[in-house]
Amino acid sequence: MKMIKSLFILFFINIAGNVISLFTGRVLPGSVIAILLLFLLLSFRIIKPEKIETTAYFLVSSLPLFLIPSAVGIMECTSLDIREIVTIILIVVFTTILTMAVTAYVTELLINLAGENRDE
Amino acid sequence: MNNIIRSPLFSISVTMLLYIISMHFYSRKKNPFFNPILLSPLLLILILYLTGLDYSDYMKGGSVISLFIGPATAALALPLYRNIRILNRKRVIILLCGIFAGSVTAVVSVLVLSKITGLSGVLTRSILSKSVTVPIAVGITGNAGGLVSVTVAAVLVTGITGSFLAPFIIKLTRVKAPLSKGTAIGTSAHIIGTVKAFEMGEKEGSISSLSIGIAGIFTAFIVPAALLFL
Repeated sequence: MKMIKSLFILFFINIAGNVISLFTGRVLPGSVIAILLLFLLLSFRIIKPEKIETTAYFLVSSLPLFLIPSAVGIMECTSLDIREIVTIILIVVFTTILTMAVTAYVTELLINLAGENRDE
Repeated sequence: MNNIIRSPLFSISVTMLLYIISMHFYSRKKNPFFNPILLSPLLLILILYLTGLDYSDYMKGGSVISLFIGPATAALALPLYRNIRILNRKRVIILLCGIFAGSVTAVVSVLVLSKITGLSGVLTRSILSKSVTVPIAVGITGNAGGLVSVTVAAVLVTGITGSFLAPFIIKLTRVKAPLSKGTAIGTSAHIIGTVKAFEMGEKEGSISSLSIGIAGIFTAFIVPAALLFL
């Protein structure tokens, strides 16, 4: 029963996220609104972490399984030509390097400016 | 026999079996190429070709599995809530600023390079969210009008790139704080990079996992803004 209850809570929050997304012009995806909703519900102690933790961690750890069918969808993208694929890969590789370097620099700079201990 | 192969039960079972098999390989080898979310779909595509099953047949069961992405993504709030409480307020602010800078860099650099290389609009929409974890990236792409499967592929290439290059980039940037290393890896290479961050240290790893969710939320806000310039 505990599992059903926590599963219901997470399904319901997901639906609530989708509804809010729909009524706010679909700017944010429902799943992201759902994360924010659950975060708020936990912060205000409306939902106790212990109530959902077993199911929540089970779902989070199984995420790779849930994502497999979406990844299989790549076989439907036969319209992509090799030039587009190479372009995407080059963009992805370059922007990943840039993003990592910028994030590292900015965070380190702020740590130094704030006088925080770097080793912690 | 044909009916059995085309039933949702069959495709769900095959998906679970391939997940179990790739998970087995991955836990032994720890090589990002064995990541279940890369290996299982490749094996599945092979199986679909060999059995002559259509993608639409497969998705009768596949969509049942996909259904759980939503609740599981919502559940990401719990580890986020637990991890963020470990840091003091000053560090939370630093972390948020660092991740925000990284997320803006990711989206803007993809947008600019897509324009320069003349990548089509729909493909650009598909890869704007490529730095964040798949469940959130898929949601962002759905709203942005891109191709979800291209997003999944781009996110995986991002993670594998980040995982391989993280030690070199961290060395080149000469950052020393675990906080900087963790935010950098989690923001740019989500969960696949985070495995590498944990190899650098416990602090780096937990900061990196914390950064994944926050980068995802920031990116969900940044991508709709970037679409205005597309």
